[in-house]
Amino acid sequence: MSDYATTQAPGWAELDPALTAPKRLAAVALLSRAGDADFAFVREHLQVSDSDLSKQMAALQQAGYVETTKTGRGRGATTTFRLTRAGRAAYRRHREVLQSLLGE
Amino acid sequence: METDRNARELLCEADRAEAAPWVDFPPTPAWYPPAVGAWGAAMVLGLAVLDGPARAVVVLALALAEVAFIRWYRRYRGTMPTGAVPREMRAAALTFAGAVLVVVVGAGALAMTGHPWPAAGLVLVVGTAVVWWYERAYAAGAARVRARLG
Repeated sequence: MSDYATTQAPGWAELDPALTAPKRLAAVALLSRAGDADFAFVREHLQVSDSDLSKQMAALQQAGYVETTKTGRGRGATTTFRLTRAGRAAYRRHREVLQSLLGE
Repeated sequence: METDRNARELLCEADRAEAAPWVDFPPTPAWYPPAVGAWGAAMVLGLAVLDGPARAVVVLALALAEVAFIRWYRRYRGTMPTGAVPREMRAAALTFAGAVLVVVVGAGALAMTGHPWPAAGLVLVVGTAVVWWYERAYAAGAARVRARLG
């Protein structure tokens, strides 16, 4: 997974480091339009493995952008993600920077 | 420029992800439209025909059934979309809301003028048809959103 901010021109430095990985940006974008979303739903949209999604979501959780809820046990267990207020604000800012880079 | 291309790609991916809760959904079960019509008809009869504790019990049971259905549907879908409806789906959503309003007002008028059974029949038949139509219009709108976003 590439990390655009480290390789690009000035302006890209304003991007949120936690969201520069495309998969993490997509996960946050998805959660911005959902009350919450199950692990399987996010994984299918991002087309990543279980372990990759876990890694990406752990990074977002560490940044304080995502809350994770686990319910049930065994085969019926469900992991659900929800965007925090800080995550929503960070995503909005990140989008604005991307749009400004395009002059939009 | 490479920078522009990357920024555009990232924004396109974000747009697709934002749309996902709206447009990525499992097939709606065939029983859903008639179940909604039957639920609405039962609610009309519960409110207009029954009285006293029987009415309270039936209305409460129907309300609990609705809550249970919403919880099941949330699990079935894996998420519930929030925020602005994608533009390709707005006309269907507005038409659906308008049709529901017409059915509710029409059934309410019939029930309050002493015709609860015709009111229930209206909700059962027209309500089922409206939900059936909306499910198809929603799916068509979702397909247009997916086509636009690539």
